Amino acid sequence: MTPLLEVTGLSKTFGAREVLADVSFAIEPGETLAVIGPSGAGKSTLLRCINLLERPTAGRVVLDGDELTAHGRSERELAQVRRRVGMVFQSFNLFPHRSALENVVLAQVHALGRGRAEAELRGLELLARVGLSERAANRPRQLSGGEQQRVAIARALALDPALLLLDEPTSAIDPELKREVLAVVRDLVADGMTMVLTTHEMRFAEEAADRVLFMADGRIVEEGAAATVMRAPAHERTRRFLSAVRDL
Amino acid sequence: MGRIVELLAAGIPATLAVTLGAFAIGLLGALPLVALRLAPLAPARWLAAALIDLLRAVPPVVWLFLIFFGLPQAGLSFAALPAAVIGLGLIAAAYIAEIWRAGLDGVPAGQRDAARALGLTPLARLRLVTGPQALAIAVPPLGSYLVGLLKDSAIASTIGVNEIAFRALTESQQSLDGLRVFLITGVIYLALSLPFGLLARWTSARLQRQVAT
Repeated sequence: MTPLLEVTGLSKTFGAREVLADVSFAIEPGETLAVIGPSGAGKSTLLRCINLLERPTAGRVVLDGDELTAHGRSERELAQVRRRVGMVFQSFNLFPHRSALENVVLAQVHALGRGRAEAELRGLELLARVGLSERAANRPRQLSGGEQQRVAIARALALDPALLLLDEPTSAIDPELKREVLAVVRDLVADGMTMVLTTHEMRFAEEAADRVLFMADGRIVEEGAAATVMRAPAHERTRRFLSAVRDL
Repeated sequence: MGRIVELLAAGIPATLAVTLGAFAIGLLGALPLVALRLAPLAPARWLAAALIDLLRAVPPVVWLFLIFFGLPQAGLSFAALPAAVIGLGLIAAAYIAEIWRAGLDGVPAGQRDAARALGLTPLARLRLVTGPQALAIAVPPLGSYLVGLLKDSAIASTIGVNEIAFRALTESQQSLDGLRVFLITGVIYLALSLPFGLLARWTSARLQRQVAT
């Protein structure tokens, strides 16, 4: 099978600081890849480079045969590219001046050019899928963190992306509300969505992801089947990290 | 006393014309300035910053004299009222450009990230996501600026615009009753600025309710 996403030699420096160094990996359609590692390992930057929220300093990102990192793309052209990649943020980033439904409808109408009626129908369908039909008219500030994140997932799915990026989707959510967000992500896994997610939920990573990639200091330390990396890591650095987070 | 009030009140339309005219020019003129100020091209940003500094650094009365007494030499003559509106309007554009910019800067970075990640074009991001939120941030300082402009409109009296302050000055010289004339003048300005202040507070409260997180 040809990979859906192929990342080759990706590097990113901010000034003199090297945040990503020569990162390469690929994922097949329908696969879920969990990126784990200590804070500051470059996990978020990796995701932000994949949909070009940050321009990589070097390297290539190829989505479905199309090189996203091709040179000289304007911000307008990048906007087109980004429609094929959904992104969910740690801090949700819902639009506070719009209702839950309007958050899900906005980009369908203004980025994809869907008709409003069709976009609202799809928006309601997605809100139902994340269990929030009755919250459609609420503003983000009236929703709990878990609910906001589920709206954010619906918003990302509304563009029918080929790939979904989730950047620590549960880190900013109360412990007892994480479950509802994780349930939505599990449902996406079951549905065959191709995903790259960064997370500190080790049990969830092991259970939900097909593969796990462990990063430290901007580099990939090891990568493999989820069960292998989590239970029998090959590298000392991975072992140290896993035993430290499991001791908590 | 009633005669003085009536005489000064007859200057209210001119005062409002200068204030609101200059404010309107300022609101519109600020848009190209702020667009340049935030342009990706560095020379464009420098040009905008230089224009803004220039407009703000020269005293308003000098701008009005330059336009009213200076420009006719270059073949451009304005009546007093339009000269005052243009002069104060240009200065307002510089200040308001900085208010818009601060509003845009005040929108959390995550909002821009989300709008970009959703594939919205730069213009759509401004119109649908960052613009409305920046407006909510900008309204209180815009309201303060409008009240300030109402008071600064008295400068138009220096080039003979027949507004409140001009009438007060003339009347005080004729009646030799400056104390009473200027006390009444102060009360009239106060009465005019109150509704502007209330309007700004009301608009701001409404917008805050809409975008509050």
